[in-house]
Amino acid sequence: MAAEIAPAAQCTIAATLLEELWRTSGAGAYALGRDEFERIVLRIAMARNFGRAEGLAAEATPQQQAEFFASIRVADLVLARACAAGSERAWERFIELYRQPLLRAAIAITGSDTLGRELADGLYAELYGLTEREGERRCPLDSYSGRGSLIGWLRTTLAQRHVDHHRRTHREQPLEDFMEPLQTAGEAVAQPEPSTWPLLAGAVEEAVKKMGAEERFLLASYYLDGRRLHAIAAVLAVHEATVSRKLKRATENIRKQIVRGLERRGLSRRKAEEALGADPRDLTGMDNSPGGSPGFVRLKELLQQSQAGTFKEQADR
Amino acid sequence: MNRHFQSDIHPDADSLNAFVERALPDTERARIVAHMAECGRCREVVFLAQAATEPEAGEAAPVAREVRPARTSGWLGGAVAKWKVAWIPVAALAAVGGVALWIQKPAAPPAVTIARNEAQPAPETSNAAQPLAVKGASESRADKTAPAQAAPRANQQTERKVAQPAIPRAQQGAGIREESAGDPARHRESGAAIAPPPQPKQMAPPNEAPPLSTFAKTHWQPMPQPTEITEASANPVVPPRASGGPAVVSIHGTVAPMDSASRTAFTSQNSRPALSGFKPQALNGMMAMKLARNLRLPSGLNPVSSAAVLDRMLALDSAGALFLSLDAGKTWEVVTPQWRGKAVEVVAQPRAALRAEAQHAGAEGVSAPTAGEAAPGAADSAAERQPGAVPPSTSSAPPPVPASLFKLGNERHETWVSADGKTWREE
Repeated sequence: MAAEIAPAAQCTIAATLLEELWRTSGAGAYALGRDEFERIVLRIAMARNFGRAEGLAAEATPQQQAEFFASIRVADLVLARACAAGSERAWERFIELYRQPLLRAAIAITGSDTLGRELADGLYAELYGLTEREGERRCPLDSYSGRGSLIGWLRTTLAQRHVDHHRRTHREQPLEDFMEPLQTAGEAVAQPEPSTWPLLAGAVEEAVKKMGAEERFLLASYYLDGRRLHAIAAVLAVHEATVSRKLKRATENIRKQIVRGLERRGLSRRKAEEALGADPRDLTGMDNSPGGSPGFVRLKELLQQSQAGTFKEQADR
Repeated sequence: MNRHFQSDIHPDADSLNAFVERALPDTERARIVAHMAECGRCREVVFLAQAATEPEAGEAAPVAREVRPARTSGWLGGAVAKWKVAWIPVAALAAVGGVALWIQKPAAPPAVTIARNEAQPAPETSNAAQPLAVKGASESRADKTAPAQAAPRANQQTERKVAQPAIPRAQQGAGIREESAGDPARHRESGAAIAPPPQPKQMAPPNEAPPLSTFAKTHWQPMPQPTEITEASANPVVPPRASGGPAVVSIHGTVAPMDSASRTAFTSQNSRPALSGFKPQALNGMMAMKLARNLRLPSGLNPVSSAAVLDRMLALDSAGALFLSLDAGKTWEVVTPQWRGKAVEVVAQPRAALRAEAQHAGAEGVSAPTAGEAAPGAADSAAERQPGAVPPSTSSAPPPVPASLFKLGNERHETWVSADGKTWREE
């Protein structure tokens, strides 16, 4: 889903608008030429069709072009591209602005001062373009398109690096480190009869497919990842009470759907209720991976093998 | 859900950051949510990035802030955002309180209006001519000094007021209340004969209701006293009140003292007080006590019940003793118990009850209340005339007078009523 930056087509940006963008973005301070500046903003604009439908970029009026550029952060974009181009002034400005915030964000993400510094240093090395691919110097700042803030992009990149690093390395840890608490939890949960597992798996899969994306996101975040309501609310930009209400509704809906699905598969209502068990985490059967265990409903255990659901817990250990 | 990390199918950092910062269009946002519903890795990235955003929020992206305002941040912004739900009940409470105040607010102007025609006691008023409520040497000294100082100002005020066009009575009363509350000189001049010189410490704050004495002495409405009281105690001269309208103000500084004969004649002529414009507003409980300048009763006990109508305020202390004040609680006099048992409550009759009672009395042909039942504030329009002016003709039948302004209840739920707060009869 990376934003593909297409080469500039026949489209041009109005001269007055370009002049204003040049002035407000401070591109001159980074020794960025006007032609280079125009090429940067034009590529970004063409990649997103000036915020219009596909193929309508060339027909964008100056007003629409201005609205599009008002919706992105041109100053951040210019700074990022100037850094990627190796401008010393741009790097001075970048370090002045983002060195400390980046370090704090890294420490917040890793939960450790040492790991945070390590993570931030690693990202700096990437940003400087020390890594090469196919003989070309690669700078991640080139992928920044100005849709969000540059510091936000840096935080997200840090989080990606951290998660990816953990996912690469956590397989090296002994398996019992993960399984021990789960086995304890599994003993406390009433196990459905083995004969109902295939029925239950089918009902769960059917119910999950009927759910909306946001409901599945809520259930996965809350029951699988163990996120708190306020964290989910912050991501979705809604109030905690809204998340709680939606979560309750989603849980009730999936329960009903599963019970109905089990009844359609021949179970009595009482048997269907028993098959559900008491722990709602047992209901969120979304393990559709090829190696998944069909019919096995202790999905948290399954999902921990395939997902980063308890990533934070594992990272804390 | 994906078992392994596949970089080519995950949203890049730019898209995830735009999602976190709510910078994505709805369609793309929905795609990200749909992906995150099945991708634990991207959920983890988004939650981590979001968690790292919060401590950085106060100082994030200085460049970006120039372009677009960030989310509400900082400790104050966070506190506001965190407690913004609490503003809902707070706003509701404030609205209810505002409505309650708005409902209660009309209670004050009638008292101002009704008290508008207060007589200007003569500078030479003797001790015997002092009002019942006035006690103490300081008041006596004030009697002799204040009127002389106030006379010129009062005349000026009279001219100014008379020149004003007729305006609704309530508005005028409100305006006068403001003037009275804010002008100590006026306070002194208007209440010359019966009020001590105004003391700054005792002046009500501007946002409080002015003391009843202030406007009562500025704009007094005559309250026909029982004949024997009028004769014996020689109350201050009480010119008849106007039927309403701004011209009432013309009495300021122009009313000459009446001699005893005139007063007697006046009392007899006005034994049927007119009620045109008579709109007493009852105040009970704390609303009544708020009008009082000094909440302390002579007994030293706490007031347990209070009521006010027109210029009269009654207060019951915890021992059951009843006190009457004619000057907004500045001075109190004990009301002789004329009831059985211990009085526990005193209330002012609501306006509607007064009106109904008056109509009832009128229907029964009750035209002249007894001395003890004469309603205060009921006087005729001669008050606004110059001294010696002929009282208006009584050919037009005046509205009936309510027989009781106050009610008093004892422990056995027996009720007594009074028209002046001093004389009580069992209901």
